[in-house]
Amino acid sequence: MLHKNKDNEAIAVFEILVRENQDMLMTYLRAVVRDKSIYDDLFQETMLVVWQKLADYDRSRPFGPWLRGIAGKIVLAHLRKAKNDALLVNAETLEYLSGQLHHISENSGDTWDEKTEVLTFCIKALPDNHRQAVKLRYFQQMPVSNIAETTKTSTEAIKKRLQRARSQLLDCLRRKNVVMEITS
Amino acid sequence: MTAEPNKPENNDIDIDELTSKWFDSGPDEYQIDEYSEIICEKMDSEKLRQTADLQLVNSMLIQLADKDQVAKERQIQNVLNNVKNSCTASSQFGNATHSKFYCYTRPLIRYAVAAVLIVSITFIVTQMSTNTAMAAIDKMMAAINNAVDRTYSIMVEGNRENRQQQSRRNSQGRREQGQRADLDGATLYLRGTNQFVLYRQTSRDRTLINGGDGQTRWMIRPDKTVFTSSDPEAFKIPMPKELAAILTLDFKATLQHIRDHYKVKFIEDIYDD
Repeated sequence: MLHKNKDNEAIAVFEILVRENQDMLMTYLRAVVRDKSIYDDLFQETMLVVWQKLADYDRSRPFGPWLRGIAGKIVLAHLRKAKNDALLVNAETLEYLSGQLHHISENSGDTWDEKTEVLTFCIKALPDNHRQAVKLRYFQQMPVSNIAETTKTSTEAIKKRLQRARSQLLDCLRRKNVVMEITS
Repeated sequence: MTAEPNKPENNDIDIDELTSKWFDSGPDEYQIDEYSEIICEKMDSEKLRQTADLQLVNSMLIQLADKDQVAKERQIQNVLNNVKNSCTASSQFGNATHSKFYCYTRPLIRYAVAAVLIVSITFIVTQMSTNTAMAAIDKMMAAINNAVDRTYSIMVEGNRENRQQQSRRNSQGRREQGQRADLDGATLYLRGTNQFVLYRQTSRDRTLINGGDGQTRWMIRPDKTVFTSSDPEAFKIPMPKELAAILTLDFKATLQHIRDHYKVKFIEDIYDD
């Protein structure tokens, strides 16, 4: 009975960790894996490994990097099998992204949404046609071809708008110190 | 010698173009060439980081747009269910871990008492009085209330040969003979009202394992994929037809049903085991 109670306590603590890190880990996975259908599988696999290795976790160190370290290994194992996803990701990229996410996690705010709310401000600051492309692409999840049809524009023009919009958003996030500047 | 396709060099790589393909192409349009693994190698660190930053922005946008709280909660609940069912559980962030066997057998126990009891009571035919059998059922139901972990060996007596022949006739043309495991000789581990593990042997002396923890059921077969299901009716143990109709997930209710509706007889040697 005592053992069971301890297990329940451990699971309760673990649930807090999962909730606190859910959005961050999903951001990480979505950054490095293209196939939407497996985000959740990788999330589940990562969390299960984290649970199984929790005894190895050094509590004097931040949890996020340790979690992303495990996720990174799982992602790389996935990418070795799914070549179409492997285009833009390697171990260096994963480590770099983990550093960026660590930087974001140190921003003010209790939740991931609060830590990244500057992004909303940056979207509002985009030129109208860029903002419209972003909203249709991400918030209404429209394919580029549909956006082109809706806005009576060519698909190439929409792709360019999205490219520029993402670059502008990145500049904005750097200016606001949400993400770090690249240092050589 | 075949002509090698042109490989992109660092300076040739247009990051915006590359990321646009990755972010904005539909599944049918998305055809990353055979350089998919080469591109990272060909990019210097700065370009890799520029690319990674754009991937991060893309991901933050997806995350910002994802307002499906139900899906998020479901994701967390799936993690917790996986953790509860995992075979190596951390214990309070300490070093204690449970063995795989323990983890599989642990979540399982009281259910089977009922199944064993049902098999014993209904099939094992002897000359004991009805009152004694009723008292035995009462004891079993009390045992369920006490949540005692139990292990049972199942013996099926009676017209076993007839049932095997029947089973062969039924399965003819559907599955290879001898694959089906019999309950006779099976071992059942029980815990609580809905947790069990059942080990059965096929006629080829291979082991089949069924289990359930009240939420998930699984079946492990030799050299085959492990099945899991949240359907409480999944992977039904091949009970004799005359028993199948009365088995429910609530063993106590099942026992009560047997007590109320069946003529039962008591087998002393089984009960003493």
